[in-house]
Amino acid sequence: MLECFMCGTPADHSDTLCRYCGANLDTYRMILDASDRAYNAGLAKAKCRDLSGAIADLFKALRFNKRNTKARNLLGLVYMEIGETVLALREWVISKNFDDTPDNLAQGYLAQIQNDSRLLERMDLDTRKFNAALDYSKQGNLDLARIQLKRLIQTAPKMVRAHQLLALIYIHDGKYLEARKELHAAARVDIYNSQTAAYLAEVRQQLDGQKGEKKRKIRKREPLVMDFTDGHDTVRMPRQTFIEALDNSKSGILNILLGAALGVLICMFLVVPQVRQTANGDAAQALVNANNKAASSESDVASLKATVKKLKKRLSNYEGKADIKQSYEMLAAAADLYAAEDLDGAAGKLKGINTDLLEKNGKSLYKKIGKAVEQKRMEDSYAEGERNLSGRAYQGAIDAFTEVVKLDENYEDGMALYHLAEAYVGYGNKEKAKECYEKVVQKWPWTEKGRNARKWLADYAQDLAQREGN
Amino acid sequence: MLDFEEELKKFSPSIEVKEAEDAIQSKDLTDFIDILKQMTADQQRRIH
Repeated sequence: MLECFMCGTPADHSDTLCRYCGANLDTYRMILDASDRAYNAGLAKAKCRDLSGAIADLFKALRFNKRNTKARNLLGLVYMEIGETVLALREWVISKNFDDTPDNLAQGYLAQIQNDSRLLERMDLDTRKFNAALDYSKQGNLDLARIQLKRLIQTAPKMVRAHQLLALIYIHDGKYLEARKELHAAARVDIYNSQTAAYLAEVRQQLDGQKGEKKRKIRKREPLVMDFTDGHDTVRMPRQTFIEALDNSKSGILNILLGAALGVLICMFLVVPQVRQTANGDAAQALVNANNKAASSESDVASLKATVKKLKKRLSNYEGKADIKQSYEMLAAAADLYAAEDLDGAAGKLKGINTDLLEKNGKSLYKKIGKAVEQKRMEDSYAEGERNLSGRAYQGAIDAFTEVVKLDENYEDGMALYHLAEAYVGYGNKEKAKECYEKVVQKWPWTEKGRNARKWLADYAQDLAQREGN
Repeated sequence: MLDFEEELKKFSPSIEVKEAEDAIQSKDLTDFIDILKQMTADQQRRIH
């Protein structure tokens, strides 16, 4: 059932305009159809491995209708196939954003990557290697770029751009056979990629040119005999090659000397440069290895540090506390004691429980018992405080009322706080009494205790003023 | 003959994972349906 793109009202197949807002549904249908056709074309191309063509068609499909989930998910897959990880993730995240239902395949793709943290790290490392190789190429360090790309291709053999860049470097160096090998590898992933095709054409042209050169060289042959004039005579003699002339020569020493000179020249011009090149190549390889190791161990170290920090934090929650079984056993015991109205016993059991390990129901029971225990404690302390206050045992009264006030300052509508102030007065600690009376006045200004507290504060202030005057 | 420098310019760096958020946010998601909505809204405004 089609819904109007403006107001969302369901529309029949035959409706040209929306019945509610009058929006043109024919045009809307045309756009949706165009999007679906482009998606189908993209899908067909993807199946034939024309990935560049598939990307172009799927782009078109999404340009028509950005909510074409199938097109977007397929585009992500194609990106993933050619080694563009982040572009793939981007499409799947956007797809999930538009369609959050469990049927959306993007959910599964993203979950696969999220569940395997090493996978994403490996993909990111490949991307960074490619970018590093590209930087080396642009700086002119083609040796480093070549080494980096060769290593990248081992871990990411389907990364088309890596093959293309390596092929370009080979073409620049005149190594057309190697370039052709890389381009064929790229073409296996993405058959009709235009850049690959252009490079292949260049390589074929160069290789054909080289073959032609060789043929021309072979055709150019010297005649087997040569004529020269000696006075009035023309002498015809068989042409000798240089080697033949040497062989016919009577001078063996000359041959030896010639051989030695040739040997020295060969050493100077062929062997030494090759040795130097190998040494440079090794050094370059070592540098690339070191860079890669540093990059990957840096990220390894960083991620390990983060894991250790997380684990330490989790561990601190468990240090000195009971495990799950013990916690639930103690909770059960506390519940039994609470039912038997032994709140002191229940309080004792509650102390040892690790509440982080409890589930929702466990926590709720813990809170319920804890509240009851607290309430009982306050009642007992308040009663004790009153006994001590009337018996003029002011220190005991202070201790008892302090315990109540700590748990609930408003207990008995502030009477605990008021009595604490009285206990401080009786004990002789007027500063502490003043603090308590001030709170009483602040919270219960128009009650009897509030008025009494105000009066005491006024008298105390007067006393202080008089003493300072004296 | 290929021009190496010119061909090299065609290669742009791949986006890394740390740039993924920017890549997602900067993506322009305007499609034909958005344009159609805008045109229809303008039309309805003119009528009313």
